[in-house]
Amino acid sequence: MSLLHWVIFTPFLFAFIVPFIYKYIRPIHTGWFVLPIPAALFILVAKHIPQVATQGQLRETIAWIPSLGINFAINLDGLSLIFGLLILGIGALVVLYSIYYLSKEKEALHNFYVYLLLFMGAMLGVVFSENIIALYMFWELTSIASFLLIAYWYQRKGSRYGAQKALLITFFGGLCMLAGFLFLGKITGTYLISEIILQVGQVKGHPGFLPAMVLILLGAFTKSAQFPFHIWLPDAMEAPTPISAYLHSATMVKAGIYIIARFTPVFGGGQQWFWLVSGVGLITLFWGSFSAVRQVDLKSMLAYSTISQLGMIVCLLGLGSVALYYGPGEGGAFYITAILAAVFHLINHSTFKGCLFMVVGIIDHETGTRDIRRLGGLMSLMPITFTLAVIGSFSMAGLPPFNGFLSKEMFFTGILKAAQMDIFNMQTWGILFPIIGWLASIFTFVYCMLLVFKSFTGKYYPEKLEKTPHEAPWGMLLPPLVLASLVVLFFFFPNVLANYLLQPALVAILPGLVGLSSEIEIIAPWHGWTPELIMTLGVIGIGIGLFLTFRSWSKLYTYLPQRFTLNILYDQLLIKTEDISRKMTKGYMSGFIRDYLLYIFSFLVVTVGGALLFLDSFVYDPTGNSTINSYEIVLAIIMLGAALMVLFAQDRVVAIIGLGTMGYVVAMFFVVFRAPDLALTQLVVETVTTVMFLLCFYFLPRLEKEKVSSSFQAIRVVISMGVGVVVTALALSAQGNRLFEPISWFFENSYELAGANNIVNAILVDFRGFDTMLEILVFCIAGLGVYTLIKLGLTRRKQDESK
Amino acid sequence: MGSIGLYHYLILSTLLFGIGLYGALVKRHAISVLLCIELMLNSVNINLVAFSRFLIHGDNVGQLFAIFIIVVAAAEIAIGLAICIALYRGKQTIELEKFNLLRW
Amino acid sequence: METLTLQDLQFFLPEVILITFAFVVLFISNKNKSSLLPFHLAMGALLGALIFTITQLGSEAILNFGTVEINTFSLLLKIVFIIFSIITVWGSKDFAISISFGKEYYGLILFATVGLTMLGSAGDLITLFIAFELTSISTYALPLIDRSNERGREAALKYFLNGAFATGLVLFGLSLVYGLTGTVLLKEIVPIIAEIGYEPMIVVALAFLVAGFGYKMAIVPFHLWAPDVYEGSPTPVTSFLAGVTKKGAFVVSLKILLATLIVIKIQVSILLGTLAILTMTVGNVVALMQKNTKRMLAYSSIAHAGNILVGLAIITELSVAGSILHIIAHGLMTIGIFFGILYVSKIRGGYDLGDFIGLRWVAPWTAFGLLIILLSLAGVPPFIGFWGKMVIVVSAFELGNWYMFLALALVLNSALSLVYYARVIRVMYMDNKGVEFNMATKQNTVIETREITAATKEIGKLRTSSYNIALYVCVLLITVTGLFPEQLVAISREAARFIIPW
Repeated sequence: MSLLHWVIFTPFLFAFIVPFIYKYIRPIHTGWFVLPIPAALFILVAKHIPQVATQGQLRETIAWIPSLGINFAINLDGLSLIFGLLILGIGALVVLYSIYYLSKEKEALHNFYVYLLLFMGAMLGVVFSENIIALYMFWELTSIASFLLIAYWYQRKGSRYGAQKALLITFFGGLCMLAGFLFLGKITGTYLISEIILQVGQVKGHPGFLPAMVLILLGAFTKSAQFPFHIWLPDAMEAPTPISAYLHSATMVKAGIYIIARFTPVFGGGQQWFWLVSGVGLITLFWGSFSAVRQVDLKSMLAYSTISQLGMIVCLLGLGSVALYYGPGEGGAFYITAILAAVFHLINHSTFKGCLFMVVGIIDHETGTRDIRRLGGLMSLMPITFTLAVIGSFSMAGLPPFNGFLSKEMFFTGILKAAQMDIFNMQTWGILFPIIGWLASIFTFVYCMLLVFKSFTGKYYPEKLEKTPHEAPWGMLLPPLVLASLVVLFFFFPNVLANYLLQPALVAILPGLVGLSSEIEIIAPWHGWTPELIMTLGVIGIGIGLFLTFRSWSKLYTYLPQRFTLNILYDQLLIKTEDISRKMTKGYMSGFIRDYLLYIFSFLVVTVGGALLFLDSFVYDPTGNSTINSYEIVLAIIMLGAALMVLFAQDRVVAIIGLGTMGYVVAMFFVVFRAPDLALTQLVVETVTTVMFLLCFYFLPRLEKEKVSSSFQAIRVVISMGVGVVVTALALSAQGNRLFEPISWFFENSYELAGANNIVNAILVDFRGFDTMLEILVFCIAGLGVYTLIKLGLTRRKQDESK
Repeated sequence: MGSIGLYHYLILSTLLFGIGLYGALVKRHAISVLLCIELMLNSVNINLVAFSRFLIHGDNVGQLFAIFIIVVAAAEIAIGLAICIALYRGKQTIELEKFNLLRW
Repeated sequence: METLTLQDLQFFLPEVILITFAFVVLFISNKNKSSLLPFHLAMGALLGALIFTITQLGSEAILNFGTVEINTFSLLLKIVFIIFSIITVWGSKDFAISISFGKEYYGLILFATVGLTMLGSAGDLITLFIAFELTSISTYALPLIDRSNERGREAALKYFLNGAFATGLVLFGLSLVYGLTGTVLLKEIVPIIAEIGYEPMIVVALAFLVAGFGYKMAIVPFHLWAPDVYEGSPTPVTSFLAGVTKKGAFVVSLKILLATLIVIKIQVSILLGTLAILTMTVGNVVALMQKNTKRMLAYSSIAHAGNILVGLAIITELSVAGSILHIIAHGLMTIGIFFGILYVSKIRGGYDLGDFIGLRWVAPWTAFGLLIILLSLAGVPPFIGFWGKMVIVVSAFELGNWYMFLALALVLNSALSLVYYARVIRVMYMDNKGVEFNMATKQNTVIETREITAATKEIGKLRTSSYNIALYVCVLLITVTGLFPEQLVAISREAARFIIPW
């Protein structure tokens, strides 16, 4: 157990203590006890920054399931370090924020913090795990924690719906990812990411390459809310705002991005990966920002904006994967910058989006609504919140002097370069990248402005609000303040970040292409009058125009089809499956045993018939045949007749007689087969069985009586007489089976008979003692049954008498 | 007269098994189904003993198996009858069609 | 010929203890219905048997002329079945007091356990058959054990008729196997069949065996009795039937199918694989619409039978180990969840989905236990239900080919199954029919009065009822083995090595 393992386990362990703290220390908000955990762990992980920056990575392994080759290995490199710091840093801020956001009187705080800590541990597990199976395990845990947290305000119908939707979609994706991981494991023979990366050459040529890639990407896309799996994220906004800020913008939804970045060295460099990743990213970027503009709920707007921003990061990662196509050298140098931009924007997005979520949380908390149609004029009432909102959304819109400007410029560089690519069919399609990217940026600008100005400027409608708004307490303002100052700091000192965090992350994403000491392009706000800057100016110009005329063109959205949205598809899918389920069930589950038994018949016909049809017919070597004997023919005929009698008898007594006859004839066959012991047993048991049936009929007096017709009476007499004769004959023969011995058809091995006679007995007692013991048990249970039967009969008689 | 062998016994037992199976499938009464199941078990015994007799000379394992089956069958019938009686006491019928409370 | 020595007799000690105590339990006076004596006797017997079996772990022996084999496989299954029975008996404590056949209930469970423990160690068809029948016959009457339950009677009828029918099919198949090989010893059957090669009769035997065992294992299309029986039986009995005795059928299938069908491995693979896919899909799809949780879980257990069958269809050491693992996992989950449901039905008066509304506040620990089991059933890590599926899927990936489709079907079915498991979780954790709940006052019974049965007043008393204890024990085992599966995986692999005949 190394220190890093403890970083993962500590939140889990502490989650167990939280309910007790909540129970016994009620006066103090439970959040204060939780806060030190992420804060301390943040410092602990941050201490590793210099080490990672110089050594590249840290590995620790403990044995977990060696018999399946699964060990709990931990890898701390540049990429996981960034994620770890985000998880813990924003985690600490969110806990602080939640202390003021969630009332200690009204809310079930223990649940909240247990789930939060579970999530934190699981998320750390995802990014630190070196073993993909362990990674998957933590991955699903984050889905569950997210499910529980979305549903935290269970009273709302929407939260239940959203929670279930998020769980189903991400769990489905997770399973796909697991399948992909197993594919990789099969190809490479290892579950360790670092070892898989070492065998890239083997993976690339393998037929399992494409399925593995698609499956893993499915996992990543569902988690990171990429089109068309983004539908769960807006519904997940039912969660308390600190959770939305934490899980659904800063950390969990970035797990998919982590996976894409992590597996870039394995799958990247090819056409499929490039198109899948950057294509889906680009569509998501546009669709997210386009949909965000029409939202009236501030959180929904932020949700779509998150979708869009995640799409942008994914798109950059896809572009950057081209670096692997070129390999080390001049050709790929540029694409490394795209990866740099992706990682940089990842951090930036966490800062400004976290800040914005907290701002929206403050608005919600103070006014009681998040609907921009009811908000307005809050600027003078909440000046600090307004400032924070401006910093956050201007950064998101890509304006200086905020960090969003830097990464947005780098994104423009990336898509402009993509238009000039001459591989992967980009000659024809490449031009789409700058166009779609630029359009998306315009919409981003518009909703950023809507976000700020619709709620903070304009007319103030106190009558539309549930509460009288005023500035939030300092505890709630502090976390977004920290994030907002980071937004500004990163703009002025991007290269501190680049040296200590971004460069090691690049080494992790593109091993072999980037060295720890190699130079990377310095991030700077001013590059001169580049096309990127002109694009930004265009965004601002057109964006302001669209924002001012928003009222006139927003009606366009109403023309979009309402019936074919992905949400309806998802709902219909669930309804339809249940429908199919219902139809299927009613169709064949009739509840009648007869119908049930029919299935086996068909199965036997199909299998046996199929077997006989496809294989040779049923041939048997007739060696060992003895001369045919009239006894046997007669016996066989009687037997079949008796069986048919059982089958067609209308009266139960006739049926019993049929069965009895059959049993006795079988006993006679045993005599023919020189198994007298068996014959005796059969005889005795058959008699007992018949008696039991008759006894049973005594208890069921009225059964079927009315069905007995007079014509059957005569037959019954005849048959019963016949049976009587047979039974007598059999009893005689069985009593002295020697009677049969002299008969000529026993000539073959006559001495064996005597031997067999003894051997069966001997086996039964000696060799088969154990089976016999079990058999006695069976009989005891049967006896118990009969005993109960009689007991029931007696009670019944008593009841009758009492009546 | 011709010769009689394992083959014929197999056919016989299969016929019996088929009759039993058919009965178990179509009969309406629990008791009748029980009887038909008994038929099926009997046919298995014929099989076993015939194998023991024709194929594996001097081997008694088949007979032994048959003994166990006979006894188990009897025990099964006993339990089955007990269940039938309990059912009858509860519902005044043992027609399978009437037992349709549990479905879907 | 070797004979039994006194030394060898120690291997029968667990069975002897169980049988002796079963008789003692049956024959003690039953004047005092609320006496806990039968319970203590049954628990004592099972614990004694467990201790003796554990001390034997690691030993290997072939006894009684090959009819009994002691090895890791048989000992592992013995331990597993005894532990299952312990949990069931423990959980049924309150149930057995409430019915008039309390001691018979314990007696029958002990008898069934004897049969189950012998399944693993049986070395020939006769012993296997008798052990299996012992289990079946002991359990036929169990659904009837609570006489006040009309549904129980119907369940007993369906269970018995289907079971007896299946016995006939199995026997016909076994008789053909015997006729083909001339022996009943599993160890001898393998080489003989390998020598005979591809014979039409073996396919016929296969059809009968698969159909017969299919019935007992409740795989599609032979599963139809299972939901009716599981729903109709008293819940502790359901737990025993679905969680314990059904697993016995898998053990027998493992042994017989693996031993006899070596020559037509591919065909068997295809047949079982098809059945497995059918079973998983039908089970899960039908479970989707069930509003009765007991019935829903019956279908879920059918779907899980399909998962186990996938392991059988792949037929490698790892896949068989996966099947064993999943047998263990599903047994634990089934026992636990049915006792959890029983507890809910005691405080709410039923086990419809509606009875689980807001369970989180009424019985937080029960709800939490059910949550974990439901997640484990869906195959969410880090619970044992995940590892069973995982090992099976990994084994499929190792072989490649069309086995990948089997793995894919299993994975997709897991996703499908989460839909209805999540529904129960949602109902337990989130729904409360709009009733405002005040956490500050800690009012635990703020549920619409309509839903409160008289028993709600006794929640405090019921909280420590045996039903909950069984649930917690299972949850504990599921979590611990899920977090640290190494021991279980290792021993399953070792056990699989003993029954793979090649």
